[in-house]
Amino acid sequence: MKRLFRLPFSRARVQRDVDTELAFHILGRIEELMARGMSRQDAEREAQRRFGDPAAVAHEVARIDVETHKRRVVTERLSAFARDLRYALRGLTRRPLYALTIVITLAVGIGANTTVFSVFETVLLRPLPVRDLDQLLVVQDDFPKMNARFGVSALEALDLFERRDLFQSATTTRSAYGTLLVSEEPTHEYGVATLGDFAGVFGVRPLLGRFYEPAASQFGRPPVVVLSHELWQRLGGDSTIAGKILKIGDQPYEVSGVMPGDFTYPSNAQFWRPLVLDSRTLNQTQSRGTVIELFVGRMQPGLTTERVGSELRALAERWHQQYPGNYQRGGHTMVVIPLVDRLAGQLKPIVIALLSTVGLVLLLACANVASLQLMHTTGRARELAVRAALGAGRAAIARQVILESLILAIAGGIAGVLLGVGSLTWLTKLNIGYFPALKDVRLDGMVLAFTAGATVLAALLFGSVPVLRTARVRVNDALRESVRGSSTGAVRHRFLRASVIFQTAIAVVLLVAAGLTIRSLGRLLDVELGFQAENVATFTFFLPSQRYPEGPQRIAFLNSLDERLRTVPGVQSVGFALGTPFSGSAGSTLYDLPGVPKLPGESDRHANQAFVYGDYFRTMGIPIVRGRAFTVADYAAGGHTVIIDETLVKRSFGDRDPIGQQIKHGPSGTIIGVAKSVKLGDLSEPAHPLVYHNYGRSPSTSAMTAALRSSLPIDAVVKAVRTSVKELDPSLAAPPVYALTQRIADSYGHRQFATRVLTIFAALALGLALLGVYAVTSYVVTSRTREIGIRLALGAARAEIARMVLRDGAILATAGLVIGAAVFTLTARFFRALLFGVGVLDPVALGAAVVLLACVTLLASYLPARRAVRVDPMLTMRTE
Amino acid sequence: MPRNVDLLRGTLDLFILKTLTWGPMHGLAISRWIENASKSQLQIEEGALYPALHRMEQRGWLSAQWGISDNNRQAKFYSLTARGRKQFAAQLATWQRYTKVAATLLGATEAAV
Repeated sequence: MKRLFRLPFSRARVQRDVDTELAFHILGRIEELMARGMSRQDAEREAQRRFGDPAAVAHEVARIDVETHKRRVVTERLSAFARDLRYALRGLTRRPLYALTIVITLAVGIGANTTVFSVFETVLLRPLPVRDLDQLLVVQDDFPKMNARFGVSALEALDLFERRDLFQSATTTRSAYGTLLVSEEPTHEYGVATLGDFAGVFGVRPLLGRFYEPAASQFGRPPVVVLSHELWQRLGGDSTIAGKILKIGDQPYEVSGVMPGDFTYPSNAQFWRPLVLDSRTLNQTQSRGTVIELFVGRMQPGLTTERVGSELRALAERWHQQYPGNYQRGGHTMVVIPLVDRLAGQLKPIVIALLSTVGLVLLLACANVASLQLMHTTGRARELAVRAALGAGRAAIARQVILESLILAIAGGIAGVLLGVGSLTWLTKLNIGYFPALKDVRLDGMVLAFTAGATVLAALLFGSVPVLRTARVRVNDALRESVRGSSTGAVRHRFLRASVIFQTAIAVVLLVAAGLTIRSLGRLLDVELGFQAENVATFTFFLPSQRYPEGPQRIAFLNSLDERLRTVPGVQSVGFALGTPFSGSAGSTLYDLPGVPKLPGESDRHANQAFVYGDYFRTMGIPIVRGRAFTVADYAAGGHTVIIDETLVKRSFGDRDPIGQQIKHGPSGTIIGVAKSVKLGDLSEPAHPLVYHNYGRSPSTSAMTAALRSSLPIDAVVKAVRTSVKELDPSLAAPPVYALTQRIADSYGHRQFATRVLTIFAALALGLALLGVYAVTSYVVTSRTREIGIRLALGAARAEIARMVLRDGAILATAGLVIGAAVFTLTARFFRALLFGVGVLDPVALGAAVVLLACVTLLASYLPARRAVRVDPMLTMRTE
Repeated sequence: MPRNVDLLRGTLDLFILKTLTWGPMHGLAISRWIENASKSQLQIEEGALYPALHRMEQRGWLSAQWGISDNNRQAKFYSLTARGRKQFAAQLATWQRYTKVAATLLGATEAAV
């Protein structure tokens, strides 16, 4: 039996009902007992006994009834929700194309944002698992006239450690390579030697053992080392390794701890050991000029980077007074940059550019969804009006409309996250040159919540507001007329037109940005290298100073290696240099030309250096444009000879002949040749003078890069090359061999990445804009069908109608183009760092974007225009 | 046999459902029927009947309606819903299986071990 209606719920009524029910029972029982002959008193007592405690029962029953009521309310609400949901879903499945379009649009917006935010978080927000990472500052010696920044010297670092007013704790690191045995095989590992409180600055707890104390740097302390998680794993992952002895080079170290796997500072470091301040190190650093320590300090709370910077500039001034011999002309000061910026390096401008463009993609998606929903509403104004007329409350209609938006938003969100996960997987596989951070990019909850939240909110705002405005149904209007240019229609049209302009403008911005990066990459690849990179392989090796302490031993090693490498099948020529293009730098220093007065306007005489041995120039394909290359005789005997590059000639010699002149650049030497200028590490670097020193006469470095030119593919010679190094000295690690072309490609990997992503974004934007313009134009055409019919009936030519529709599209597109171009010039600074060889206002990129967009909008309005032309005037009049 | 047999947990529901298969009844009638049908061997504490009735109503096994009793008083009549009937059939089957097993087990001789 179903109740047709229910009295309103109240606790008092429930209590009353329960009391009535129980009273009926007890009274009935009493009467029954009395009928059997009991006195009233006995009957009452007996009934009471049989029943138990009526008050307790009444209380319990009332409680159950209240609960019953609550459950019923919940059930009813749920079923109402289920009904609304069914309604909404039915509404959407009836228009699958519309639903699908919105879901895809949202998915694109969310997917792109998820991806870029993940990258942003990994690269700029949380590159290291370190507390208050933004408080860590890098301090560098800055030589503004040389346009160069280096680390600081150990003595400067010790002075900086005293500045407790600026830094709570501070440390320095310098590269410290070491060869150690990993499964019986010598491998060359990159590590750092630290000074100061490394553990304090980074606040990372080791996985095993402990991090050594700052005092471990004091002379005479037993050598200790902390291993990276990766190296520890490769060594066998012994969990009792702390306290054991590990030989690095010839030196036994006590392992004091193992760092956790996610701690990667400096990136790729495999071990950390104290920089021991023995007399050799101190002598080396006595000049305060060996600026190879990278200083990182944790700022005192309340300070700002600017404040620390100005304090340090003042400190530099005091040093100049205090140690006048140590700071030479050329100018010196100190600069401070956040560690995060240094870690992000060249990725920072890219991530910022992507972040700003991906926001635009999201806006575009929202605008698209908004116009689609608005058009959709118009189509169903009748349906909603009918429901309203049938008595559906405004709230019920609003619920349904919001629910529809919500379903679409959630579906779009899920699709978007899947898209984001997919593109992140793609991204981590990209292996972008020097950016190991990108390998670790992954989706996390914060990113997900942020993007999904933002987009759903946006979808609801953009989607529901216009819908609800129409849903505040003018029941009469809607029922009386179908889609027609009524006054509400005019408002709607204004919104749609604005949306088209907006979408076109955004598409322009993205197209121009993509165009500029594509052009930049093209320019970059056209840059003249100055050498022939094809078929050249390079590898770098290190001659331990214990076994190769002096020049003669090193030269002997190079000679035997040279001989061996030449016998490798395919190898045509072999050369050596420290400072080989794209294979490691040999530093730079000031030079002096005693016999050559400065040219008017000549800046500081500062040049990069390279130390050359063997048949280097021929192997690398660097043309000698004047004089000659080094010969075996040059290497073997006589004074120091050098070769300079064209850039140096242009800077310092002008039209004078440099051959035979003396140059002091570190060691003094005679110039015997001029080589073509080469790019050293980055295709976009400006030309800078380079001096090639004769390594045979000045074998000062223990690291060397070998270059070999091969007639076979590089892969075919790699193994033989590695073996010949091992055979020559089994204690050396077999070096990794690289194709030079690969190293060059790595150097612009980040630009390629930026270009690819921006191009994808631009394509998405173009697609969305196409969709937007098409949808709006065809909607406008549909809503003007009657007008077009009348015009045709009155004798308008069909061509004229087509022109009318196309003109409409053209006006909107033009407005969008102009606004987009204007917006781009305002936001251009986000892109400037990505550009090379093109201006922000590059006519080609701008022109291409405009033409492309014009074509697309034309296409988008052509189809509706064709439809408009085919309107049958009789038919349209009749449907009214 | 003792006059009061402790009701096994859950059997009250089963008795109520059984009783109501005869048609709509108020609480007093239900307790009378149980008493008569058990030949007065089973006397339940009548107060316990009501929480059970209301809980079964909450579960949708019973529906309740106010009506007029034989002696012209307002009384709440309970009747089985479709779900209640299904519930009764299920509980009855379980109960029968249980008693059969219990009888077998309690009647077993030592030799069966």
